Amino acid sequence: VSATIPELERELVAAARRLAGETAAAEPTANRRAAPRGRWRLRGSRRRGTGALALAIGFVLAAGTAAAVLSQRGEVGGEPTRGYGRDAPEADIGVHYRTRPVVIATGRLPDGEPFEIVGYQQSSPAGGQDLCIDTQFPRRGEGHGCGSNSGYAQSVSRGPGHPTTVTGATTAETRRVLVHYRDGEQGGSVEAALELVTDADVLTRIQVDEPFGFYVAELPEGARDIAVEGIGAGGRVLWDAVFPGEVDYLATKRIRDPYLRLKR
Amino acid sequence: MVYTEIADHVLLAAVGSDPDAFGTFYRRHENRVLRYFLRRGATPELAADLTAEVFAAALVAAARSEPGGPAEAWLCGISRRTLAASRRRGRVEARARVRLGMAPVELTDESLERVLALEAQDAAAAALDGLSNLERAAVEARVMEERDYEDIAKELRCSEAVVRQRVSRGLARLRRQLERRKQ
Repeated sequence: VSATIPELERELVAAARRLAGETAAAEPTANRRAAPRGRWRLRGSRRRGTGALALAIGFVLAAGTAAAVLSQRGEVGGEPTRGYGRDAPEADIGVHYRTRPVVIATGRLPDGEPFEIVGYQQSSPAGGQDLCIDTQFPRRGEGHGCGSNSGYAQSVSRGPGHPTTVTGATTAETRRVLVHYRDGEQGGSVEAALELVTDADVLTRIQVDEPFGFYVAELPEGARDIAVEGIGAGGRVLWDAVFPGEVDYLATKRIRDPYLRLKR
Repeated sequence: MVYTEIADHVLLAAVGSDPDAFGTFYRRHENRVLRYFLRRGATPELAADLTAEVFAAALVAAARSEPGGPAEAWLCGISRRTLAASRRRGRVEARARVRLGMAPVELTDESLERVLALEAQDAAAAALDGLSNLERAAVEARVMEERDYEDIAKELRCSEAVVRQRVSRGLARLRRQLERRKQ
């Protein structure tokens, strides 16, 4: 029968081997007891001489194992409900997780749909690393990314048969986020689900120094001309931003793309 | 050396002279310990981390003295104490691993999949308990033992149509239970 986690079995057997070696070294040969059955012998007395050294080495080796925090899957500080692999899906092109994806905030859309904001550091093929923030809808089994902790208007996700989803980051002082849009001839506004990321442990794990906010809003399927504004505690507008619309290159006066200029 | 039918206390007693004996002891009990943590809401990686600490503590304790009583109860006690200490400290207890100089275990994708499968099996088993005896017998025979309807009908002394109906209803109920559990 093979182990569920063979790498742990190997580590434990190696530890048992070290322990047996220590025990044997600590026991004077004359005092070793005979094996009770066949080749087995009783364990010796507790090791003493090498204990302090083993403890010191062990502390250095195992310090990293204490990092996991007791949080449940799908909760702030825990693993995302939708599993992330051991490495990034783009590992074959040199993009790797530099920190484990962790739930940095959770919330619900006005219709009750739960979402998880997931953060992690990811390497870039050119070198260095960047923060990635994904928005996951575990109940729907879908999600999108990767955003950042800066940029008020970050992403617009749209498609036939789907609501238009917008996301962005805010300052920690932002208390409400209003999203304005145009749907046909009608204008509309919705309040985004805003979650503040303030947990010190979570911020440390995604290697971000300052608390920030992240919002998610769902608009009607055909929403366009989307703008967003952040409102502070006193009701004052702290910032605003516009989501870039679908660009009609041919209608643009300043066309720099030679292919499009030729086509025109 | 291959240990298969050897009692737990003998395996633990042999660790001093043959460290592989602890590997056998680990394989025999690892799923029980992993399940202990998974059922208490730990993620697969957290369950693996806690399990590593439990077996490290078991190894340290076994080197000092023979555990009294069955190994299952002994490991359950260590698991309970490890979980309580970890909750108290807000992070996974690592004292025994520090003591043994164990390197942090990085789960491979395959191991992670196996732990996830263990979690799924548990969920399915718990959901099976929620079925009536007749539905459970039909689902177990058809889905888990992969027997054909004719054979099951003979054993359960009913028609094939009845077996099909029980399997269908049982699976629908299981699906609903698992969906509720996911939410």
